[in-house]
Amino acid sequence: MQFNTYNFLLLFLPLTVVVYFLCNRVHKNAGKIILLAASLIFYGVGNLHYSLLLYASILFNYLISRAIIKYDNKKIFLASGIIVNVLILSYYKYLNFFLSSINEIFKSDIKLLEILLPLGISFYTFQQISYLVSVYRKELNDRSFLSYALYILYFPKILMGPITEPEELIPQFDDEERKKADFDNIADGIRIFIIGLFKKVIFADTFVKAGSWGFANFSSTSTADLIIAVVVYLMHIYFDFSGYSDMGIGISRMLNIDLPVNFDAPFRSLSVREFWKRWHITLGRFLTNYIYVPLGGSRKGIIRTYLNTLIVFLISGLWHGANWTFIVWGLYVGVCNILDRVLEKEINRIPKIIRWFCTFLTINVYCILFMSNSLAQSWEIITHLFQKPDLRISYEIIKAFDLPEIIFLMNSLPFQNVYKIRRLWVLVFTAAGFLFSLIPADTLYRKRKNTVMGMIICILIFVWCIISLGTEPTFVYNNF
Amino acid sequence: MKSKIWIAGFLAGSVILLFILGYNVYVTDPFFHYHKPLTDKFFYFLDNERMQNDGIVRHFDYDAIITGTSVSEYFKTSEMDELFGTSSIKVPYQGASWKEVNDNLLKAVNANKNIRMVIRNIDEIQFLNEKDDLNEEYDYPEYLYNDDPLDDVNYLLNRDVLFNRVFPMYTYTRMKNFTPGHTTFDIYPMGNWSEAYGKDVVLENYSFQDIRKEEVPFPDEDRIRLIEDVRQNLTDVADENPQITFFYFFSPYSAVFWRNLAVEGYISRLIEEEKTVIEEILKHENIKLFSFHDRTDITADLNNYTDPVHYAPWVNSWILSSIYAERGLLTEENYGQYLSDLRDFYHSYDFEALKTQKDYEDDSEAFIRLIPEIYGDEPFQSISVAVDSAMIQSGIIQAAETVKEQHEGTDGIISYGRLKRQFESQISTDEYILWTDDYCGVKLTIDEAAPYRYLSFYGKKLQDNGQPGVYVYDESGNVVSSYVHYSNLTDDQWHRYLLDLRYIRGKVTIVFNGGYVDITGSPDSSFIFSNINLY
Repeated sequence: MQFNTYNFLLLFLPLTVVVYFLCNRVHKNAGKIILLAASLIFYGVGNLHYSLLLYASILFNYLISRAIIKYDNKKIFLASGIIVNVLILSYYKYLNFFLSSINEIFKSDIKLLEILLPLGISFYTFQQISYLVSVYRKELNDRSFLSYALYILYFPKILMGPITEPEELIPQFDDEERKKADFDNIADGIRIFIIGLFKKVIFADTFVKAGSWGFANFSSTSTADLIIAVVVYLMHIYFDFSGYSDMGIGISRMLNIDLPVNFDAPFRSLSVREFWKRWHITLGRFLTNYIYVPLGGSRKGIIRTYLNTLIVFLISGLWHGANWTFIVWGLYVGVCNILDRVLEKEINRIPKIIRWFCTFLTINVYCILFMSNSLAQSWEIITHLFQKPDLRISYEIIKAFDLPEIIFLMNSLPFQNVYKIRRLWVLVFTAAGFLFSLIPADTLYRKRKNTVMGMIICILIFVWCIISLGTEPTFVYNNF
Repeated sequence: MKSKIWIAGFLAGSVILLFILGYNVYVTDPFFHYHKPLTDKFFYFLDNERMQNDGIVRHFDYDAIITGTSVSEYFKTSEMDELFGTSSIKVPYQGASWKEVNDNLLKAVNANKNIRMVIRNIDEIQFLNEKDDLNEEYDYPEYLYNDDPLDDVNYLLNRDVLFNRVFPMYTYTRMKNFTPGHTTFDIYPMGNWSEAYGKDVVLENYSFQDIRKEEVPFPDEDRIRLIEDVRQNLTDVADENPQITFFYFFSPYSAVFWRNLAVEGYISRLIEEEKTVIEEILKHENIKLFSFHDRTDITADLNNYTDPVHYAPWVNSWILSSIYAERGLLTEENYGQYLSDLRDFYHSYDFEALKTQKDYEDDSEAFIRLIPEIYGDEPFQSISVAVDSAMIQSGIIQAAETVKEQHEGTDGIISYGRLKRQFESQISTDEYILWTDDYCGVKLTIDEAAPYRYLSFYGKKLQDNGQPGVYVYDESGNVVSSYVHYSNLTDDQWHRYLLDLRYIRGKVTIVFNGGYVDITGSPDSSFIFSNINLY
């Protein structure tokens, strides 16, 4: 199931919230069982085959955690648990990449396997590892199976995070005060959820059309097309990912659960290091706590610090995807971070606007590497950007921004030439999205007063998002 | 405000607004999922087969169906009705498997007990399918096909449906000359757009690969699979509905298609497959099976095609007249000889000759060659009326002027400019012209169209985006015939254009529009119509 579906919005979510609080009145663990059941349904719908893998993984990791608690060879069990988790992730995510790389280097013909990536495996694997480490470090009081399973499966975060630490989430499930419905939190949760839904359904799903077209047709696009495509694709990734996190945070707020902030206006960043403190914050936290710090962090001299930085970003690149582009991406990002650190004093002397622009430019290069199918394609895209400037914007880019409601509005008003207005709309929509992305997290998530105007705005935006879930497909068959 | 009240207000407000929106979809029902079209109030654009065909067969009034795939899209239901005395609809599916077409046919026969006739093409390209195959490229709107009311939310709360169809349906009713109704089945689903035909178009990107000498066999397991497909998706529906006569025909692909088979060594195999299908179908009394592959005067003349498989609308007209006259009917007695002749023909055919075939400058030449068979006599005889400047002046001229001494010394009308229609407007050009009276050219009225069979004219682009758009409207405002420009009209030469008026009766209005179709065209666009004749 996904958040942006009719089933979830009109049935699953309201039912879960209501039943959760009702059951909490019956028994202290009843609510947790309901949340667990809801999470099982959420992950299982349309995904039964990979659900079994997840359940097996949960069982395995729980047994390891019991072994860590019970036996003396705690480190061995911990190491084994981590290794098995990483191996499973590697099988699903990296085996074919590994085999195809072998084929390429050694000109062999090893057949690739048909492997589908289970939903959310990258996220829940990291959280399994977090749990084992927390158990090892004795950071948890509640190590029951119910709490552990709920921690992994908790539906607001299972598919795309935020990556939570067990000690920040599990105690909340047991907190008696949080088990009573808090209408202020429910109202706030609704508002935050709507913000996330709006980001995903209106901005992300619109930007992706132009971005995808640009990347798919980059060799024939103009410079203007390609610049727009790269920028809006970056914005698509932001709105899609942060929108999902917002929805998860909003749902949790309704349930009196606090999830950590995952995005904090990353496009405000004045440096690449600042960017990684604002973008996918919980991933950065995980990599810092479980890789950077254990490797020595910045405590073992400057060369080791840089090396550790490179390793962390290399792992981050691999975690994002199985392709040489992600490896190069990771190394590139790591090098940028190192340079940012080395030249910090000099950089801070540069006017902020220039620092902002250079940072934004660098992030866009990240995006090109991230979205390309191959290193060759990344290079082609970058060189295409620097060819003779052609500022014409293709019709396909303009069409990608057509929202049916906006076109209807334009046609209903006495505009002479709607096509010209549509071109302007591209600029307006992109600018609106960009400005929206600059709103800091604490502003987005803060508690708000309940006002009539606020309610009306929420109704309109919520309904707008709901109807935006439905489209009318056209069926183009080129051959027949 | 207390949070409880805010939440209650939010939930109530959302539910009410969603209900209002969904209710409007239900009332207008642009996909006919719930009820018949309200053609006394709204105009329904028919333009999306997979979204609308299901509703059409369940809720429209009709007693005959034309169905099949893209090669059936150009059939005119008005021709069928005139020939067979039916009241027909047309519900083809581009790129469909036999199963998909058959599933819709089953819906139709279950919903409508008045059906007495079905015309359907059989695509040889589908011979390799499994019986339950559907085109995997498509994300089918199952919510429109099933009886589950819960998933109707995908239709009722759908942004595209609301803003591309429902709300515009309300606003169009306020236009000056608005006429409720629906797109005619003559036009649905292809619109009025005209393709270009001939060797130059068909062979534009074609590569003449070597022909394979060895023929591919037709194994038994494939034969069994094909028979299962035929039974489930072609003949079972006929067995279950003995009161309906089914007219099936093999789509008459061009000689280029057969060359593709030859490259794969597939000609004999296809003949064997066709034999299997024929033998299976001939067992059923209420199915009449036709084939026109042996009409190589048509199939080997690329002027009848826009690509290796898609033929021109006049070939559809010819197919209808052939079915009516039982030309090409396959029987137990003749199918063996037919297959043998077909195999011999394509095994010895000189495919190279296709490269040098003449591409008619005026595609209507290919149409004119078939008219005697379609209509039974010479095309241009008996009544003929030249439309001269006096007749043009009796019409309503707008953004145009009459001129003398144009094509072959005849009068003409030069149009200037462009329509104020918005770029990519949902309203088709013909409906726009009707509802707004905006055109560049002349509007003529003919009191009685019955005596006339064709409207012929010559036209020439004079400047920029000038192009011909000629629309014939009946008294109800339906477009009953039309010609819209070639997609590749770039020259400034005289071309002949022919509109079919054979099945049109009563008072008609003919609009000659030479302006560009929307506001993005050059304001200096100009086109001339001349040598206009009614035959």
